[in-house]
Amino acid sequence: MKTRDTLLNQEIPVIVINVILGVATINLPSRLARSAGPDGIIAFIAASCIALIAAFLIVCLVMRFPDQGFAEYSPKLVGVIPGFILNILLTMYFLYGTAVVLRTFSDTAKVFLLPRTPLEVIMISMLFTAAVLARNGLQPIARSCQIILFLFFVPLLLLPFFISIFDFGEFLPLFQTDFHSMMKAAIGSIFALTGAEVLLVIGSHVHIKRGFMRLTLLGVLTAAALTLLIVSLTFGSLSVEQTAKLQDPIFEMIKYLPVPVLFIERVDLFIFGIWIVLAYSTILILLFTLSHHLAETFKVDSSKNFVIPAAVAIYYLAKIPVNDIEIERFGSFFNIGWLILVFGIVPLFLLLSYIRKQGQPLLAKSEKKEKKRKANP
Amino acid sequence: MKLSKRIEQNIETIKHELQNSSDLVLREFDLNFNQIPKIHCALFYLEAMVSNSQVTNAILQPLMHEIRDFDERVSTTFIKFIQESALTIGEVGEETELDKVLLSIMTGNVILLIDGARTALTIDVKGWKHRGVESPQTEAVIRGPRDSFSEPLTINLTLIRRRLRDPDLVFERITLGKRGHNDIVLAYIKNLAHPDLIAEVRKRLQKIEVDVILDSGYVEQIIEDDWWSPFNTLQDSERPDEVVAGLVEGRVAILVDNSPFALLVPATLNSQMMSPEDYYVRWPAANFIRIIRFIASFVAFVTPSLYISLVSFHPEMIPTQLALSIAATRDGIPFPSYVEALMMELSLELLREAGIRLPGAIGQTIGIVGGLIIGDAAVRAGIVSPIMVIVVAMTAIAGFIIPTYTLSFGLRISRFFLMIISSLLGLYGLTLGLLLMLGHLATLTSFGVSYLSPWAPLNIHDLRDSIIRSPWHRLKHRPQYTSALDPTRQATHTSKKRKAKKKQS
Repeated sequence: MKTRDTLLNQEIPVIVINVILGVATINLPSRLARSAGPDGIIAFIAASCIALIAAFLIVCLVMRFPDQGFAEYSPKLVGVIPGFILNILLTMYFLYGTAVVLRTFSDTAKVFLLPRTPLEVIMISMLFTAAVLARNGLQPIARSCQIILFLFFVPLLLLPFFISIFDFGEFLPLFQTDFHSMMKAAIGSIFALTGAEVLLVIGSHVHIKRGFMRLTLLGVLTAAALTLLIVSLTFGSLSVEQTAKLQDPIFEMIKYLPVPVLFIERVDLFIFGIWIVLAYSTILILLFTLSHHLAETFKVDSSKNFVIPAAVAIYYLAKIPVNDIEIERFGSFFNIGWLILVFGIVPLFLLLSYIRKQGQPLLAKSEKKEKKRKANP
Repeated sequence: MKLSKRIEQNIETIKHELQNSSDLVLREFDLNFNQIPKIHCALFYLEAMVSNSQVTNAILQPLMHEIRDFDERVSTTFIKFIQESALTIGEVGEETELDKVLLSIMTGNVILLIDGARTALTIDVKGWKHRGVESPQTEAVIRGPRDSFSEPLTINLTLIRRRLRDPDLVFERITLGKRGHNDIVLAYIKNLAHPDLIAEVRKRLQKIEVDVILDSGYVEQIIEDDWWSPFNTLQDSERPDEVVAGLVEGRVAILVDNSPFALLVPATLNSQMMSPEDYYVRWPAANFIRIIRFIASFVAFVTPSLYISLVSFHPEMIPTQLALSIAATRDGIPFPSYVEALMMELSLELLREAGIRLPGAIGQTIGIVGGLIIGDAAVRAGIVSPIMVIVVAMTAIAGFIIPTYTLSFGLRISRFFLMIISSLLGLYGLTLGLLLMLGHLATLTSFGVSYLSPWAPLNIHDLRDSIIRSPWHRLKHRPQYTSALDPTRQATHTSKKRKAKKKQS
């Protein structure tokens, strides 16, 4: 019998997709349309490439320390005190990230579903729901995410068949935006593709590391492809110009779909229900990662006891922004934090692990060596 | 404590230990011989637990009339002679310990005490009145066997053995209950069921320390993985064919004496959504029924809460025509939709419970009176809306499709939780409620197996027998969640072989 906290290989892409797909997907088309026009698609593809490189670096670091979390190997690489500081910074990063997701979600839920319900009730109920499962460990989370992913996949794959107006001309002309603006748009949309960094903490729970890289990249690629599909559908059906004007263009697009279901008129609310599920899975994984990282930082066996304090901290942090502009600013800060983490700290750690000869060689290499050994005993 | 050589002392001790109970029968008699002096004997048994005719014909008659020619003094040879040559009973044992003798009497055996012998003979002539093998009450099928388990363990074991003539089939007997000393049987197929699973079940059973085990429900609740869950993690069945099907899948069955319900482990949500009939009818029909069943379960689970969400929070989601119709029917109803829904659902539970408790014919009357007359009267009186009656009726009908009674209990309890959370937060609450339920189901395990298997963790192989069942010739392998030692269930299907032969020829 397996322990509760092991992650099966097949669950890696599930976790990655679930953590990536979330709240940012909803306003991504309008953000891309505003910043790059029809080139938003190219900007998003560029962002996807950045996310793939980031995932590659993260997995390389995880593979160097296959049985340890970030909190365990960071003191070995940079020393105890700097390591501790970095761990606290990573805690702050996850705390901040979860708060941004929670606040963005709650604001949208309030506008669409519960205009008279206080924002606090929406935030607390969501955090509570996530905390209940986060306390039960990684394996139940992975199982839930598998079901959630299926619930998301089916309507998303059916969506293109119901779109009656779609203009391919909306994607043209391409490459009208200068490189600088394009990269700015790509960086601006990176929030929609962040999430693979959770593997820095929970990657050590994958017992069989064979195919880890492939599965992680598959997860990022699938999430990027699904998001690209949503963005393309929005651009094609609503037009780039219209998309740029709307705050949540996806719901606007879905609102007028002629779905042949007689007992539901506003399909957007039904899709909103699915989006709640996606937001939940992102918050859930981030909350677990945060509490688990805290447990590893303070060398406590179970992360269970950190879930509720972490949820309380997230709640108070999520309450800080007073309007949409501040929430946007919160998101931008998070993007910067992500870039520093993935393209600053992770490569630095990789470099230090090679210089200080810490950790294990990449599994692919060791496998090659084993094969060689078997071939020439 | 050992038995004494003196029969009088043994008689007194047994009478004293059994509190001189009024149902305790003591029959003293002498064995008369032609050449040696007579020997005083005594029979102890509990009235109505033994077959009186067998006591007379197979014990008293041979002992009193047919051993006159024996000429040795009381010795082990004499005991052996009685055991092997005099008594015409299949199962005769020897006991020297008083405790075991007492337990044997309690089990329904006859005890033969012989003056001068420290050994008592335990003679199995159990013969109490019991219910016969009848049709299943909770798992009825149209196509398939109609017999079900009964209370006596021996009958239940026979029902399994008749279907499974495998020499590897093991019935492991464990006696549990400090006062009840009840027989529990652990059934499995050796070399098929995983040894870790058998060991785990055995370990959990041996840890049970209760006074008495009156039904398999006791065992289920004591050994289950998560005692606080509304969902059962052990599958119960009163159908021997279902238990045998489980055994050949590599699962372990637990049978309890005096209980017509056997338990199967490990159990998943998927395994409990299956009916034995799914395997007896052809696969297109089976799949049709299964899809209907899964949809019905979801309908039974969410319909009232969806109604509350839509009517109370998001009427804009309902098509205009329907929304107007609902509004018209709700006109003049004094209660908000959630109070109405909760009230009606509680009434339904009341009717269901009343129908079960009352005898058959009156139970049906309660259903008609409650469902039709009171429902109609409530609508006419303007207490509930007709649409609410339709929602509740639909929920009830859909709920009856769930094949496992205990699983439907879990869904019924959870339905109230969903209704409450939907009353508070509408569609958002319903989604959160469903997520909480999903999270809860994801945490459940049954003897180490995920309750959501084969959907999560995804097992493509086992999906062949979940919402959709593959044709029999495609079900070559046993389900993987049981970790059966022999994964192959059947060889290549005969029709395929025939086709191959035709091709060759």
